Amino acid sequence: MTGDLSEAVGAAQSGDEEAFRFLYRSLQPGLLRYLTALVGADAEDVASETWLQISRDLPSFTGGEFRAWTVTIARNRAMDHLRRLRRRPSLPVPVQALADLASDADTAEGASETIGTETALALIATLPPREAEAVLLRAVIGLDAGSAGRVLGRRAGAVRTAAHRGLRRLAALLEREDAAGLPVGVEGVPPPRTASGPTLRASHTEPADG
Amino acid sequence: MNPFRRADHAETERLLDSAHGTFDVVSGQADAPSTSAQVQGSAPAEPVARLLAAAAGPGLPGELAGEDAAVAAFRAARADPSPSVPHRPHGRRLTTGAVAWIGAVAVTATAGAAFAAVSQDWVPGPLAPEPTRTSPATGPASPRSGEPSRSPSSPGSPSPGTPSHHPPSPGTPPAPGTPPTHTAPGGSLHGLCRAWLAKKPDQREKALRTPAFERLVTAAGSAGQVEEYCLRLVPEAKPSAPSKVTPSRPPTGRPSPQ
Repeated sequence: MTGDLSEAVGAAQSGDEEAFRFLYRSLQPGLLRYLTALVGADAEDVASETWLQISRDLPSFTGGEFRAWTVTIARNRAMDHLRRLRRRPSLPVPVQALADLASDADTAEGASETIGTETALALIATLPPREAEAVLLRAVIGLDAGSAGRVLGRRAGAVRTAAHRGLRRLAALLEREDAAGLPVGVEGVPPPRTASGPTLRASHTEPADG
Repeated sequence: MNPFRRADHAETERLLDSAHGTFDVVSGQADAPSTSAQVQGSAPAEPVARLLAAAAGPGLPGELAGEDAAVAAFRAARADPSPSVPHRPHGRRLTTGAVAWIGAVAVTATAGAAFAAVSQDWVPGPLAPEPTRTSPATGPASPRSGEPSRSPSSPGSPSPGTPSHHPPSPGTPPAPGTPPTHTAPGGSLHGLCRAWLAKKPDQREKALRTPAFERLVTAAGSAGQVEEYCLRLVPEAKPSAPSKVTPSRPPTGRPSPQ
């Protein structure tokens, strides 16, 4: 996989359009998912900007982890975007996702795939930004802790800790949903925020950047 | 109950590593993560493993919607390899310029009228060459009016990735008022390179270990490749060409997010 990727990078650098398409298909889903956690509904716009810059700067990429290079561009574009909007990274509160989680679990009880991709991403997005970013970069983009640390400007150990905390929080959340019989399910009308996971909500006030 | 309460980081690392698959629908490996994630086996961790596998699951239909736009950008970048200028600043700059210019005309005209009212012997023209206030507009002829297809309908919502993206024609240098605030997204790397190349050789290696140059190392691939990378990126930074001043100057214009 990594070999394919770097082969395609080389080919795209020499102008191979199909290779570029391959890069896009391989990387865009991950980038979009990561960006959604950072900028919410504007993720597609920011992803477009990201690919614009990737196209332009591709000749200057001289090796190393291409995923990390692209995700760094994506993150910079996202931070610029947030700066333009003059707000902090605020992760969308996915009330709907919790409801989806409930219905997912209902329809596929006991089966191995009970969580849809969007629901899973929305749940990860409920984590404090640092943890969400660490989990997404590690598990969804596929960077190792060191590369993720370079993207985030932190040490690998800090990324590991953040990811660990994030997973712990997710485990607790899933456990609670399970035990409580999935209490969030008011269709159409978003239930009050306190309906589930008050600690998660509270943690939203944590800033994403140190 | 919760395996993460006591678990060491190694467990977490394994979970995270096993979650990632490939989104590539062509190669058909996208179902790999769910199987590998369940190798974990330990029952309590399984929901999280499944969640991670789902998050890294195969590409969704809508996710590749921008493919043609991205390829169009790729094509445009190949056709015009010079660092192109992003859409958004253009639109904003153009609008700002137009507003400033209109404002200048208005100020001039009003001031002229005011002068006319006060002193009869002063005969103002609507385009009197000495406005009462210095304005960014350098002259009555709009410097940008001749440039086609540059004005987006609304400055706030350009769509950067659309196939209709026009790279600025390379032969046209940015005319009269070269905006100092305008920096191409790649420009910060240019700036970093210049800053780095300006350092004494014995300080360069140390500099690359600081967060300030982290992006540069990432972009170059490794610390050892930075010099080659920078010389390629900013060839004019070589000592032989001291006179060249590039427009995308402000080194602090684009702060890195960290």
